[in-house]
Amino acid sequence: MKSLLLRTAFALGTLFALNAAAYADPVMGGTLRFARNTDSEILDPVLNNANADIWILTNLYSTLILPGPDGQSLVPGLATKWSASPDGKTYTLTLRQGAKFADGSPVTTDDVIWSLNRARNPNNGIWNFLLVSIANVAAPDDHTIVITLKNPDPSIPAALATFNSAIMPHKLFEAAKGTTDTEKANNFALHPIGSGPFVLSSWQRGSKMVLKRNPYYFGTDSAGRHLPYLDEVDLTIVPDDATRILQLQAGQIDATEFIPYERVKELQSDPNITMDLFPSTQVTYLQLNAMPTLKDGTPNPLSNVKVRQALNYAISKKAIIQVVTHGLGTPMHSYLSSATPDYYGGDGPAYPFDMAKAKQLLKEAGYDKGFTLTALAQAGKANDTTTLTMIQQMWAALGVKLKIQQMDETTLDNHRNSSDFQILSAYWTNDIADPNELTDYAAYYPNIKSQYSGWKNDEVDKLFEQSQTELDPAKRTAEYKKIQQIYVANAPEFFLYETPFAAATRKTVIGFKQSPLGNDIFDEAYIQK
Amino acid sequence: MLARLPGRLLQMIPTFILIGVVVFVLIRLLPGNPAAALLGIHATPEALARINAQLGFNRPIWVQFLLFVGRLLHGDLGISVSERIPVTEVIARRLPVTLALVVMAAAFALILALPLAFVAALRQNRASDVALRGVFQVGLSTPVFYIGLLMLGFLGAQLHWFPVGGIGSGFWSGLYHLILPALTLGVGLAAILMRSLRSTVIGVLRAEYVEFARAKGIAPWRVLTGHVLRNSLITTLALFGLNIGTLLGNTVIVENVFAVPGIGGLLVEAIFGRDYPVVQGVTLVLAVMVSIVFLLTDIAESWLDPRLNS
Amino acid sequence: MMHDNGGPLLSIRALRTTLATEGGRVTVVDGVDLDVQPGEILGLVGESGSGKSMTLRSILRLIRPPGQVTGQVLWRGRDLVPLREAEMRAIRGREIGMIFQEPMTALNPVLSVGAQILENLAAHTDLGRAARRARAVELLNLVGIPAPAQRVHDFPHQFSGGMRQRAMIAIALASNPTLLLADEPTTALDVTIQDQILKLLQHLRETLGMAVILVTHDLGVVAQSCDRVAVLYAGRVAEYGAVGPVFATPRHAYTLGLLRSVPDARHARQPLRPIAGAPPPPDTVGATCAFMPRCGFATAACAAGRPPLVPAAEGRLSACIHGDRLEATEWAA
Repeated sequence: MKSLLLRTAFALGTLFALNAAAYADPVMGGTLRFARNTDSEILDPVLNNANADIWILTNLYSTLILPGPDGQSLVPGLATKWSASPDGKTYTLTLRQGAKFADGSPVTTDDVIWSLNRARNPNNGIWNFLLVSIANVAAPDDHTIVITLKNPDPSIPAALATFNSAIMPHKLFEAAKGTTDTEKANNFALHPIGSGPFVLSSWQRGSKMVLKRNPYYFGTDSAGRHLPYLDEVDLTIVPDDATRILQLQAGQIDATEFIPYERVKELQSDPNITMDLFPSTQVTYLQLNAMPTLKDGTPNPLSNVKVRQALNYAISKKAIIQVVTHGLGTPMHSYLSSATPDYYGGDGPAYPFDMAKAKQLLKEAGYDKGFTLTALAQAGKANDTTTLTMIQQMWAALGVKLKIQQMDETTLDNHRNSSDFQILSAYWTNDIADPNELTDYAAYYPNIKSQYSGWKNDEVDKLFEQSQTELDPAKRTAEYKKIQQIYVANAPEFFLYETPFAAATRKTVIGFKQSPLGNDIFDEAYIQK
Repeated sequence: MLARLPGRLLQMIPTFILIGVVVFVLIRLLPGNPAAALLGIHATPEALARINAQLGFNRPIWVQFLLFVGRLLHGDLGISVSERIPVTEVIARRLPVTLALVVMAAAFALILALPLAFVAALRQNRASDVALRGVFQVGLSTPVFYIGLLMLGFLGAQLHWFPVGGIGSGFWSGLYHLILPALTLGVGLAAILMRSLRSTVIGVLRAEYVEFARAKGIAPWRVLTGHVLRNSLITTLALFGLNIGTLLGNTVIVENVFAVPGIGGLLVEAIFGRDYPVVQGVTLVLAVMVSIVFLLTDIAESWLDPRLNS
Repeated sequence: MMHDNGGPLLSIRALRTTLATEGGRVTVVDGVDLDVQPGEILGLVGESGSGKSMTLRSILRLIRPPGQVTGQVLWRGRDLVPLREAEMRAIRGREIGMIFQEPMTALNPVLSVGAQILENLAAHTDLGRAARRARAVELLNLVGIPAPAQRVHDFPHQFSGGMRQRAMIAIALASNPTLLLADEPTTALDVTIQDQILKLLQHLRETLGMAVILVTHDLGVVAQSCDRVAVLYAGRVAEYGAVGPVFATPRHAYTLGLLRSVPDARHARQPLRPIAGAPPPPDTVGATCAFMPRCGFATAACAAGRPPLVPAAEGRLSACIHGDRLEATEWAA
C-alpha cells in the first residue's frame, strides 16, 4: 500500500518535472554554430538574386508585415496594424512606435517611403514585380503610411511581408560610398544596418559569417521576453553534405540544413541529433515544351494534351518518392505546393499511376507506335538523374524512348529561357506567401509563355488577371481552384512530388525553424545547457 | 642559371597573354552569361538585358577585351559578378589558403614518398617492397574525395584528432585545419612520386658511381645521401613540376569536401556562375603560380645537377 | 721499387664467387689462386666473361647478397672473406683502392671532383678540412692534371676523357692505398691517352710503392706495363707468371691461342688466327679442363678431372697438363 503511494507520487513527480522541462525558460545568450552549403552574395533586399541571400536577409531586416509561424498567415512587423479601403486601392498602415535600427537610430516614415520606392523601381533588381501595383507611398503623419495602388491587389499584404520590402535606413544608405544605387548598395551591403533580430558583425567570404544580436530589435516572445535569445549566430560555409553531417555528429556545429534524404533515417536514430522535417513550398517536377514543334523544327508529340496526360499517368510517383526522397516526399495534387495559400488539392494526387489508362490515351492520340523524347538534367544532381532514369524505364513500357542529357545549371537555364528543350528537371520554392508568383510563372501565358512551355489557356489567363485584383478572398480562392483544376487537367508539366526541408540540429538546440519559404529563423532559437 | 633568369621571366609574358586571351574567349563560349547565372529561374528577357547592360557584358567582345587588358595593366581585375567586390580582393583572401594547402600537400607527399620509395628500392621485390607498392597503388586508385571523407570521418569526427573541415580562425589554427586536407592531397601525389622515384632509385643504386663510392669505403648512409639521394632528387623535382597541374586540379575537390575557402572552389563556382571577371582573374593567377613552380623546379634542378649549367 | 718483404701482399686461394640471377645461382669465379707481391703490377687478362672484373670485386667484397664469395683472400696475412662489412669499409679506399673502366659513369656527375676526393679523405683520415682540401689539390697534381687548384672544383663532365680517368685515380689514391685494383682503366680511352695512363700507373707504383692489379683484355697493355700476368679462362686461372716468359713460351694452350690471335706488327699481311668457338657459359664446365672444347692439344686426359694449377717452371704456374708440349711462339718483348 505504502509502496504504491510512493510509486505513484514518484511517477507524478517525474511527469511534472518532464512537463516543466518542456516548458522551461529559454536560455538567454550563447552562440549557435550553423553550417550552410553556400555563401551569400549580396545582402541587399532589392538587388539580391540568390536564396542564400534571401534566407539571411530576413534575420537582418524587418518588413512592415511579418509572415506568421505557419508561413501563410500575416502578423505585425514594423507596422502594428493595417487596413484596406473598401475599393482595395488604398492601404493604411500604422508604423510601430519606438522601432529602431541596429545602430539605435529610429525607423521613420521617410525610411519606409524610400525603401518601398526603391524596391518597386523597375530598374532595381528582379523583385520589383511583387510591388508593381503600387502607385504611391506617402506618410500623412509620422506614424502612418498610406499606400495607393493602381489597381486592387489582394497580394499586397503578403508582398509587404516579403524580403525585398524590407525597411532600410535611408540616411545611412545614402551615406555609403558610391554614386549609383548599385554602388551604394554594394558598399552598404558589406555592413548592413537593419531592424531585424540580428545584425551582421563580420563576414569572411566563403568561410564564415557572424551575426550578433540586435539589441534594438522590437520582437518579443509570448512571455514578453526580448528576442532573439541568442547572442550570436556563426554561419560557416561547408559545401559538401557529408562533411556538414560529420561536423554535426562531431559537435563541431549545432545545426545545419539540406540534409540529403538518404541520411534522414540515420540522423533520426542518432540520440544526439534532432532531425527536423519542416513543411516547405518546395515542389519538384518536370517542365515540358507544349509547342507544336521544338526549336530545331522537329514535331513535338508533347503538344498533344492526351500524350501529356498519358505520360503523366505512366509515372509512378510512389516509386520515385520512395527511391529518390526515401519516402519523405508526397505526390503533388497541383502545380502549387500544399503549403501555399489558396492551394487546391481536393481532387487527389495529380495523375496517380495507371499504365492502362496511359496506353489508352496514347492510342487515342495516335501515338501508340512509340516516339523519342529528350530530357535535360542538371549535372551533379544525383536526384535528377535517378528520377529521369526511373521515368525512362516507366515510359519504355509505352514504347517511349527517353534520352537524358546532363549539363551545368546555367546552360540548362539557357535552354529553358529560350524554350530550347523538350523536357527538363525543375524545382520551385515560393518567395512570397501567395499563389500568384508561381501561377504567373507557370500558368500565365503573357508573362513567360507559361514557364517557356508555350502552353496557352485563355480561361486560365483570364482567371489569373481577375484574381490579381480580386479583393474577395472567397472569390479569389474559387478562381485559384479553377485555375489549378484546369492546369492539372491539361498537364502542361509532369507532376512529381513535394518535399519538406530537411534540417538537423544537436539535441541541445531548441526553437530553430525553417519557414516554408526557406527562410532560416533564429529569433526563438536557443541552446539548452 | 641565374644569368638566364631575366630571359626566363620575359619568356613567361607571352604565355600569360595567350592564356588571358584563351580564357577570355572560352568562358564566353559557354552557353549563358553572368546575368543568366545570377537570375536563374527568375530570368526574364527584360531582366537579362538590363542586368547584362549594367554589368557591361552586352558590349562587343573586343571592347570587353580591351577594357579587360586596360584594367589589367593597372592591376585591376574587375568586379566579381556574384560577390560585387573587386576580384583582386576576392583572390587575395582565398589565394593564401590554397597556397598553404598546396605547399603542405607537397611537403607531405615528399615526406611520404621519398623514404618509402627508398625503402622499396633497397628491398626490391622483397615483401616490404611489394607491400608498399600495393598500398600506394590503392592510394593512387582511390578517388581523392573518398580519401578525404575517410580522413574526415575517422580522424576528425570519430577520434577528434583534427577538426572536421573548415579553416578555423587565426594563422596557426588555420594551418592545423589544413593538415587533413593537405594529407589527402599529398597522398595522391605521393603515390605518383613513389612509383617513379622507386624506379629511379633502383636505377641509381645500380649505377657505377654508387659502386665506386662503396669501393671508396665510405659509410653506407653517406652513399645514400650524397650519391643516391641527390641524384634521385633531380628526377623527383621534374616529376613534381609535371604533376603540379593534377595537384591543383585535386585542390578543387579537396577544398570542397573539407570546406576550405581556397581558390580552387572559387574557380569552379565562378565557372558555373559565369562570373567572367573571377574566372579570368583566377586563371591568370593560377597560370602565374604554375609558371613560378616550373621556374623554381628548374632552378632547383640546375642547382642540384651541374650538368645543366653548361 | 720491387722488393719482396718476405711474402705476398695479397694471396688468393680457391676464390669462388656465385651470383643470383633469374635462372638461379651462377658461378662467375670458379676457384682462382693468385698472389700479388708488394709494389708489383699484376696483369689479369682474359676474354669478357672470364671472371676478371668479378675477381676484383670479390677481393673488395663488393658483391651484394645473395651473391656469395668463398675461399681465402689473405691481405697482409688477414683473411678478408669472413670480415664484417664495417671492417671491410676500413680496408676499401684506405688499404685497397679501385678504379673502374668508364669514368663518366663511375664518377658521380653532380658532385665536384674535389668533393669526391674529400669523401674518401673524410672517411679514412683525420685530416681537418683545410688539410683535406690541400691534399685534394696535391692529388690532382700527382696524377698530372694541370691547374689543380682550379680544377678541384670542377665537375666530371668538365674534364676530357683522359683527365677524367686521372681524376678517378686521384680519388682512389686519396688515402694512400697499398694496392690499386684497376678494372680495365684504359679500355675506354684512345691509344695515346691509354699510353699516358699506363705510364701514370707505373710512375705511381715507383713513387708510392703501390701494387696494382690491372685487369684488361688487351695483351699489349699487359706487355707494356705489367710485371706478372695471370690469364683467366671460364673463371679459372689458366696460367700465371712473369710477363716475359709467359708471352715468350706460354704453358697453357689458351695463352698460346691468345698470343697467336693478336696481330703481329712485324709480320704484315698474316691472316689472323682467332681461337675457334666461344668461352663456355658459367656452370657448364664440370671437373674437366674448361678450354678443352676449343683446344688443339686436347686429349682424353684433359677430361679426367679439373687440371690443377701447378708450377710449370721457376715462378710460373699453369693449369694445362700439356703445357710443356706447346709450340713456342716468339713474342717480341
